[in-house]
Amino acid sequence: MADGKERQNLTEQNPETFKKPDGMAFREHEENISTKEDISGQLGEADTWKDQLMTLIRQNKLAAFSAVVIGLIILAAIFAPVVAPYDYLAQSLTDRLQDPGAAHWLGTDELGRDVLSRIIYGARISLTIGLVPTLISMAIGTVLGLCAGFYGGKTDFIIMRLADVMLAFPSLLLAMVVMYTMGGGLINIFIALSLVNWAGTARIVRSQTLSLKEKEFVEAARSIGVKKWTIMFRHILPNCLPSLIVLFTLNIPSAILSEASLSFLGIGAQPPSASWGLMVVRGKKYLFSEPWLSIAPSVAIMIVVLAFNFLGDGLRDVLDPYLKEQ
Amino acid sequence: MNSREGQKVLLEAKHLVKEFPAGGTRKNPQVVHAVTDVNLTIYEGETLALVGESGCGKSTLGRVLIRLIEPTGGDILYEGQSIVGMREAAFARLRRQMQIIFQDPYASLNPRMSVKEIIGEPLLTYGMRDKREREVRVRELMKEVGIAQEFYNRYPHQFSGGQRQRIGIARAIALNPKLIICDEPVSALDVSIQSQVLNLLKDLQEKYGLTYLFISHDLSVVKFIADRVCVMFLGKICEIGDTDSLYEKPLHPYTRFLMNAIPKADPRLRSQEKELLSGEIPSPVNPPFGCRFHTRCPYAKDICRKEEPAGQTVGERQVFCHFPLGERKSGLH
Amino acid sequence: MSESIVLDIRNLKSHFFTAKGEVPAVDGVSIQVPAGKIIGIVGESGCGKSMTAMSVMGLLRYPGKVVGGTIALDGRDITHLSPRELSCVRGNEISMIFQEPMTSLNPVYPVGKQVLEAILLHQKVAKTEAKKQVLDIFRAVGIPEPEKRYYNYPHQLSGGLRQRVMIGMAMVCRPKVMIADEPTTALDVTIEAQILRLMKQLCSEQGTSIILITHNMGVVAEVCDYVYVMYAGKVMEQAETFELFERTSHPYTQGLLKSIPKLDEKTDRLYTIDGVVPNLLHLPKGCSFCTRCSQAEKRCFTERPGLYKVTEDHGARCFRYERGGQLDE
Repeated sequence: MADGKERQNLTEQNPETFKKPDGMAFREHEENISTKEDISGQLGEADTWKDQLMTLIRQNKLAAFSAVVIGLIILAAIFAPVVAPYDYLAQSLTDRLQDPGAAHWLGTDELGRDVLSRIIYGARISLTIGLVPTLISMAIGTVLGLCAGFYGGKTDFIIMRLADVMLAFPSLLLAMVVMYTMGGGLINIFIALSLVNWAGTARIVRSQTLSLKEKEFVEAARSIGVKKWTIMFRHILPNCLPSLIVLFTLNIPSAILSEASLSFLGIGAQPPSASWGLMVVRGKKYLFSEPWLSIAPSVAIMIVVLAFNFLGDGLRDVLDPYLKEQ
Repeated sequence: MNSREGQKVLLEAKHLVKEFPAGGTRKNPQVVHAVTDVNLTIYEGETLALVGESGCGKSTLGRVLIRLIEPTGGDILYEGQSIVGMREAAFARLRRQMQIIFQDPYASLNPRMSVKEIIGEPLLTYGMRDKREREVRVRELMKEVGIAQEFYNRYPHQFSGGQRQRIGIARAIALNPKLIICDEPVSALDVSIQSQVLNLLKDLQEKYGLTYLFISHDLSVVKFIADRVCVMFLGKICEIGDTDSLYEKPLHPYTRFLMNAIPKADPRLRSQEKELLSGEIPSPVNPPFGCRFHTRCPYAKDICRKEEPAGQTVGERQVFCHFPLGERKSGLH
Repeated sequence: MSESIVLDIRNLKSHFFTAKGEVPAVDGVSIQVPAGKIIGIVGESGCGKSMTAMSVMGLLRYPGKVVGGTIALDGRDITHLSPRELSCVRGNEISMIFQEPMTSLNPVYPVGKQVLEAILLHQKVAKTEAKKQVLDIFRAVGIPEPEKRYYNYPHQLSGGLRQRVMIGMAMVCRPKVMIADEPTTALDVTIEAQILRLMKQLCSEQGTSIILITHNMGVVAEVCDYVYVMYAGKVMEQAETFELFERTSHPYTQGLLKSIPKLDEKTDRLYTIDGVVPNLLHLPKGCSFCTRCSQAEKRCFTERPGLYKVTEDHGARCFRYERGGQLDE
């Protein structure tokens, strides 16, 4: 890994400029003719994103399978009214706490609601929680990271110290503080999670910006006279995208988990909404008599989180050039 | 192009200095003396080569001249107008007249942009908003540098090093600049590709009357392309002169050693006895006192260690040496 | 070549196994290295010259693999040695130096210590004795103030000095063959000249044969005794250096030499070889150079030329020399 990076740096840095006079090591003129370069030079065409997708499917079956699972869950969430056998709110006190069976595949809860239907509807909450706050927090993190890396100096210092403070706090605790002060409910979860999770993204984007802004193509843009913001968004941001995509898929499950935890603690989604975290805590009372009430939503959480993690790992293998070097 | 009479001065550097911070303590900060007191004139339509070994400051000088890096001191005159400290808005008009071609064709093109976007970017930046108009111009430029039309939508990784360098050249000439800084444009290319690119640069110069500042460490490439040569050592100019006379009779000892050291593609010129420069290049953080070359110079006398040589004019040429070789010895081999 | 052959590579084939197919990066290369001589392998990037070196050193890793041919060192076949036996040969009998010495040296140990380790690894000597050897080697490769340099870390040395350390490390066990892969490409011309002189001197004083891999015809002309010109995985022309430059026979070599700007003549245009190096996955059916060759005939596009004799010891892979008969490789 270190070796790969080193070589990368050597070829990418413009030789013989004094931009970073670290010690006395001035880069000399060089022409990288490693065997790896040789071969990619011959093949001429590197991978397009379609090729990369094919590579992903071919190389990492688990990731491809996870993508399919996620796709199915998303479809189920969108078409919940069609897919779910019952209305998730329909109570039927005569059918309380039924065992899984032909009528209710996963049984019913203490109010006689169908557990399977509630899990399918719960996917809506979990996925929105996974997507929306993650998107918001990453957007915040990306912009702050870009600014910090590109402008450097005081801007960098202030943004990064703020990020350090955020990272020093346990994020769940911070979210809890926000939720306690603002009260429960979905919208507030969005806000809490968005505010908490930007720091990690900012750090990664900043470090990439730092290395990208030394690249010759950025210098070329400057020599043309391209404006700073245009350079940031046209030249630097697109080159951060692969890492952002990976980061995105890996951030989704942690957001889902946070929501589940908050709901479990009673400061997240409020009844009667079908949040998985809420379902786990409601089933807790019947853990020994009717264990499926807790187990079914827990398994649902586990499947979604695992699927996103596997997909994220697979994407990283394909998209992240540093890991690919190995 | 031997006479300089009647030629218009395009760019002039006066006592140009560039220093980079290089750590040290707060009380005793260290600086890299990348460019020290350089005076240089570039005439319109010529190719001036900047030659030297790594760390001599030639790339830095090239970038300072078009204000990609701000100078620490001194002045730069472009068509008689000082551009140091000029406001960015006012400088934008001049910036499009000075472009740069980079050494590494792999790093100088944004991997996420297609050929049309890369070559189109300068056009877009200077107000060519109409898509169709831009396409016509981009295709015209592609033809100019020898990139086939069907590659219009391709991405850099689909090209070889030589083709990428052509794309970089197309981007540089898109705005009809007057001056192009060529920063080692062929040193990362294979021999057979190198000659293609050099010919292209020469053709473009003829067609558009471009002025080149050609930065290179390769003296044989310089001999082919340059009208005048400026040899640098450790941030200072050693010698400036017309290519032919400089190659025939180097005045500065360093120039002669540089020429001796080039491996020549003819085994008959091989000789064990040829004089080689000993020692390493001194550090630009603590450059030697006096003449900066004295630690490696076999002809160094006391005065070389004490006093910096002032420029001497020998005919058309200028040399910064207390004891220019002149009549003493000549010849390459 | 009548001298004793130290390293004998015959019909070496190394392929890359990629998702897009099998790439014949080295395609039937035969190279003989006589004792105490400098052999040059010259070619453009992607011609397979580095791959040849890696194959000989047994350093080729997936997706690259040696798929055919034999490599004999002093008459002993080293093609199919186990990794353990190979690592014994490596460093002891063959050693290699690379283009960028910084990546081959460990940045966290002083350079002297690294050379010392190399000695202790291959020789049974006491540490004090080994240290003395290191200093001797440093002196031999022209490192000034060896006692001081011994304790320097790689980043404290200049590129030229680092390359000297690498050469010293490669010479530790007085190997029979040293492979130098673009040893001077990263160096400045004045330093390059010093290193080339050093290699030449080591070759004549210690009798080590050197395989010098380079893209620079000037370097070849300067130091090599015998030259192999490679293109697209094959040897295109091979000859004794003076012969090669005086009677350049293959159109590729001719083009290559003509396209280098000369110091002693002024031209307005440079000769160019049109086109680009072909994709090894889709090589032309006939001669691999036919698409770029200015003298190609009909036949060059359909048939593969062998290596034909131009003179007794001079071969060219071109039909124009078919009359001379095959050069026995």
